[in-house]
Amino acid sequence: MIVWVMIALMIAVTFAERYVMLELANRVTLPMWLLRSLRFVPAALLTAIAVPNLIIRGGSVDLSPLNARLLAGIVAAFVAWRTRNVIYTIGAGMLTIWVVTLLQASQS
Amino acid sequence: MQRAAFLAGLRDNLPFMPGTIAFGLLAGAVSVQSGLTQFQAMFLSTILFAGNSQIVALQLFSGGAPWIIAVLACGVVNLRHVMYGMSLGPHVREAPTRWKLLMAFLMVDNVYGLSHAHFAGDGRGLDWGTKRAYYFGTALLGYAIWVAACIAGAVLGTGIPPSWQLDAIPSLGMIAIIVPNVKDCPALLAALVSVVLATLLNDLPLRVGVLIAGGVAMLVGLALEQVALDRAERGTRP
Repeated sequence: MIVWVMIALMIAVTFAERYVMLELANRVTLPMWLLRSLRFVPAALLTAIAVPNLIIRGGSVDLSPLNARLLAGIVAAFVAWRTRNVIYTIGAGMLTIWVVTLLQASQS
Repeated sequence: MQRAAFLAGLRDNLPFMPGTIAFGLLAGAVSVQSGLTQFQAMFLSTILFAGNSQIVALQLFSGGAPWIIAVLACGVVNLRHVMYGMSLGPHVREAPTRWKLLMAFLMVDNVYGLSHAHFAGDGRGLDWGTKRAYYFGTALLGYAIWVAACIAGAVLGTGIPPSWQLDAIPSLGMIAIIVPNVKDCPALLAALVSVVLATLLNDLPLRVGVLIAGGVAMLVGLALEQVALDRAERGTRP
């Protein structure tokens, strides 16, 4: 039951975010502080969500070059910077993970 | 004219389809692996139509976070759509509400990106009917393929071996959204603060570390920007 509540709210929140300014963009201007805050959403909030998944392995921080996901994140950031292309970024990152994992498996 | 615009939109969206298939498979599979039933997984994927946020929210949920944190995370990952609406809204001023509702339902990164580039570039000054044709040309094929991929993913579900590490895809996809938005010092500092705090606070219960790190990083970025603005203002005064 609680899963259905979660599903319904995820759908409602996301739809509201997609619709609200499409309808209101021509009628209201958002306050300056809100516009300025929105600009920092990717850098501040998305980073907080994405990066721990790459740095933390098995419950602890792993900054070693043997952490395939950390390397993948660095490669992905570089590719994203040069190409601005989501598919290339994900592709380069996943390729890094697989190659590093394979190399480690072949050495042990 | 509308037919040509629809086909143009459809064609422009084709290069994104391999990514849509991969993401759809993953969204369906992760949902089942997170404990949703196959029906719930298919329902959520096809109605939400926002793979990144779905995977992030469900990974949090299955990792022990309460459902409200999962919903909040979903909302945060999708906040960028508010900006998409803000930039697309003026181009579709004449559109009736029922069409805006449909547009909102299908608004994903590539549909927004292509449509905005078209409406502000080659398609400048087009009438609403032609814009509508282009927008839904980009959106409908993508949605159909997304739904098919999600259903396939939900059926495959736990059959995808964990050694493929496909659960890294959402983080990598978010990097592609983050990097182009780090254009100046305040944004860079916000990103660095976020990395450090999110890593240090990762063990806090209920995964609230994500929200604290993101919130503090946002305030740091805003503060630094304010300092820069104040300085610029003083500099221009006689």
